[in-house]
This record gives sequence, C-alpha cells and structure tokens, in this order.
Amino acid sequence: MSQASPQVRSDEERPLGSGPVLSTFAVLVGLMFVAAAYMVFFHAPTEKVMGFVQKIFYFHVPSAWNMFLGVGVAAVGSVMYLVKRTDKWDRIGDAGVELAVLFGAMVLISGPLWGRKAWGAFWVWDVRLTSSLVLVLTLVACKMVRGYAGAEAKKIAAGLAVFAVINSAFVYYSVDIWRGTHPPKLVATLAPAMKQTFWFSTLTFLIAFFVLLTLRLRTGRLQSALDRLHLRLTESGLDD
Amino acid sequence: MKTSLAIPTLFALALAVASAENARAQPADTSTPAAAATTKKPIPPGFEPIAGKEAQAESVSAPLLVVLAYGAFFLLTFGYVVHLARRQKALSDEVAALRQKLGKGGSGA
Amino acid sequence: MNVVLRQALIICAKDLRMELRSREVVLAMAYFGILVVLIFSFAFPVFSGAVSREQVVAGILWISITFAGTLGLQRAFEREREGDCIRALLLSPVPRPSIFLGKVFGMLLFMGVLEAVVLPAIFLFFNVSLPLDGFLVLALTIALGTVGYAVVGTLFAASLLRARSKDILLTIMLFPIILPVLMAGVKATSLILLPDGSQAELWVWVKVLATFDIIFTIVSLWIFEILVLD
Repeated sequence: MSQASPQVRSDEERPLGSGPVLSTFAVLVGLMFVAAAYMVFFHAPTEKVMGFVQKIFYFHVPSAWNMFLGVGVAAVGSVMYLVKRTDKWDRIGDAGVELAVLFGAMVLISGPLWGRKAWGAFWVWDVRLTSSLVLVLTLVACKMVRGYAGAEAKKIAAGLAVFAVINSAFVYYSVDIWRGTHPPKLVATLAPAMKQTFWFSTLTFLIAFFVLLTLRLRTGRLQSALDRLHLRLTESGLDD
Repeated sequence: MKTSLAIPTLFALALAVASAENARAQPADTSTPAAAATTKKPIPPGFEPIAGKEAQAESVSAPLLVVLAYGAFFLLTFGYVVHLARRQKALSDEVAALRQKLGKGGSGA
Repeated sequence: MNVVLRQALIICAKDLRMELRSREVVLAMAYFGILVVLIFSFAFPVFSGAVSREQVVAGILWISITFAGTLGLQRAFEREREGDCIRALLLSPVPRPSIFLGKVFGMLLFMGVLEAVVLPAIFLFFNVSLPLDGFLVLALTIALGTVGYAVVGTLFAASLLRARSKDILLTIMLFPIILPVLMAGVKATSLILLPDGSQAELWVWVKVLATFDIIFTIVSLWIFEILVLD
C-alpha cells in the first residue's frame, strides 16, 4: 500500500504564516492603507507646480519599488530553482513573478494617469514606464508559459524570468539613451508633510508586499500538496 | 493559471477606463472647464468631497485622474486578495476531499 | 440554409465554450497584439519627432528579420523532435555547449541567407545607396543583431522542444526579450543610412548590441545546460 512507502515530509504540510500573525498583519496593513490614503489627501499639501495630480506619486513610487521587490524575489527564486530544482524555489519564483505583475500593473495604470496631466498625454515613451511595460509583459509571458507549456513549464518559466530581469536593464538603458530625457528625482526635495506621507505609504506597501507574498506562497504550497495527493492517488490505484 | 488571466483582465479593464477618459479629456482641453466637470460621474462616493473641494482650485481633470489611480491601487490589491482567498479555499477543499479518499492512514500530518 | 447556419452556430458555440475554459487563444492573441504594437513603435519611432525615410527603411529591415527569423526558429528543433534525434544528440559524448552552439551556428547561417535576400530587396525597393565603409558597418550591425537574436531564439526554441503550444509560446517569449536588439538595430541602421548620422551615437548602439550578445550568450549557455539535464 502507499502508506508503507516512507513519506517525504514536505514543507507543504506545515501551515505558513497562518493564524494570528498573518491576520494581525493583514488587518494592520488594511488600516495603514486607509491611513495612508487619508494622509495623501489631507496631510500632504498640494504640490505647487504639478498640482493635485501629484498625489498619485505617494502610491505610484512605492508600487514601483514593490514591483522591483517582486522582480528580486522572482530572480532569486528562478535562479535557485534552476540550480536546485526543488519545488520550493519554483513556488517562490512564481510568487515573485505574480507580485511583480500585480504591482507593475499599478505602476502602469497610475503612471499614465499622472502623465496625462504632467505630460499632456497618457504615454510619452518615458524611460521608466517603457521599461516597466516591457518587464511586466515578459513576466506575463512567464505566467502564460506556466499556463500553456505543460510538463516542463516550470523550467521554461524560470529560465524566461532570468532573461526578463536581465533584459529589463537593457531596455532601460536603450530607452534612456534613445530619449535622453530624465524625469526629475523627486524624493529628496519633498516638503516635510509630503515626506511623512510618502514614507508612510512606502512602509504600508512594504508590509502589504510581504503579507501578499505569504498568502501567495501558501496558495503555492496548497497547490503542491494537491499535486502530490493526486500523484499518490494515481500510484495507489484509487484514482477512479 | 487563473491569476495569469485575472491580472491582465483587470489591467485591460483599467486601460479601457483610462482610454475612455482620454477620449473625453481630449476635447475637454479645448472646450470650457464646465464641460470637463461632467466627466466626474464615475467617482466613488467616498472620494466625492475631496474631489469637489480640490476641483475649484485645481485644473478640472486632475481629481478624476487621481481617483482613477487610487481606485486602481485599491481595486488591484483587493482583487488579488479575493482571488488568492478563493483559490486557497478551492485548493484546501480539494486537498481535504482527496485526503478522505486516500484514507486517514495516508496522511502524514 | 437554415440547417447550415444552425450547425455553424453550434460549432461556434463549442469553440467559444472551449476557449472560455482554457482562454488560451484569445489571451495569447491579445498579448501578441500588444507586442506587435510595441515592436512597431520602436521600429518606426514616431514618438521622437518626425520619422525620416531612412528610419522607415531601417524599421522595415529589422521587422522583416525579426518576423522571418521566427519561421526558422520554429523549425530549428522540429526535425530533432520528429525522430527523437535530440535524445541521441544529448546521449552522444559531445559537450553540451557544442550542441547549443552548433544549433546557433545553423540558425545564423539560415538567417544570413534570409538577410542576403532581404537587404538587396530593401536597397532596391527604397533606392538606398551606401558607400563601402557604410555598408561594412551595416553588415557588422546586422551580424551583431542576428547573433543576439539567434542565441536567445535558439535557447527558447530548445526549451520549448517538448512543450505544448510551442509556436504560440516562442513568439510570446522571444519578442519582448529581443526588443533591445530591435531598438539598437533600428537606431544604428538609420544612423548609418542617414547622410549626417552621428557616428558617436552609432557606436553606442553597436556596443549595446555587442553587450547584449555577450551577456545573453553566457546566460543561454548556462540555462541550456540546465534545461537539457533531464
């Protein structure tokens, strides 16, 4: 029988960040989001040159940083998966890709909305937006590979993620020398109330990232556990 | 797999909203501000006072853009959490069902 | 007539149901559409002012290389797969990098033929004339771009060897990654074709191409080793 075989104790069996700790952080981050939004609209003064639309900045930049955090997680997970070939690293890589796409989508929606006012058009082939778009598109391709490629999807997706990360540097550099225009670096020149709002938003986004990452990794573990069970079911001949 | 669909779908939706705004905002630039003020209809109730107050001092389409952006932030985050929760529920249900099928002896936990 | 139409609708409904379940085709099509928009935006960069005739010619050249190249890549490993030749190749005592580089060299030759056909056609259709040194720089640019394209493309084609829907996935994976090659190629080519193109800027783009080739060749060799392990 199947239970006679020594069962590999997998980390999927252990609950991940469940219970009070995760719930506490989830509630905390929810409250912080509300507080951050309050600060954005009532604490931070309206910016002189760009006006009200500058308020997008307080969430736009943290989501861009979270996108890079996601890309970092994806890069580490993918490289480690290619080296070690353990499901754990694949799940981490996949979670990183997904979070990078999520926050990248926020960047790509809020950026053009800001640009509509600041540049007079939604899209002006700005360096950062363009390279973010290409990065997100490549990471979406990673998810599509996972969906369509079949048995070897994990390997292919991990390889593509490595390419995507390196490629984004090339795209950034290329668009940069092509356009030759930089948007100003804003963070250093902020008024105190703006600075407080900005860093509070950043902290909120940072915590949100890790809450979402934990949730996503748990989903991945459940999926792996399910795959294992299906495998055992087939092995033991109980499958239909 | 489902996530790879959900996020582009949300993204496409937001882009569609944004481009619809673009189409309306283009003529508004040349016409009177009053015409552009009508574009504030889709603002959620929670944001109305802020947008109304600021709209007097600021250029007309700015509040709409800000509200759309913040709507996207919250909608994407919320949507993703809901997606994950639903997926986890479905997965753990299936895991439980399979465990039962395998019998208690098979489960290591 | 009525029957024909009704049966057609039933078949259409079946397709729709299948697509709603997998969402493979529509999503891939939409994604590919966005990619094409992006590729053409960089091939014909309207965003950086008026596009000159030279820039359009450069764009056409690189677009044709990019799209025609996928035909070769799709077939590159098809023959290996048909007779399971790849297994024999991997079992033979040949170093793995040799297998990869061998496939890349083959691809380079095929693409060289393609370029040998496309380039005169473009020169003919658009009445382009180049001095010899300009032509040599153009040949170098195309060669560097082709190397980057062939390396990345061959790796992706190899990784998709046993995958489902590989034709769709190859273009979806390849196009965003070779975007820098396209950008650098278009920009360098238009600078070569322009009578007063900046030489300094031209060499920056040639360096971008060379860097792309070196980095992605190293990465591809490493990933190929891993991909063919089992």
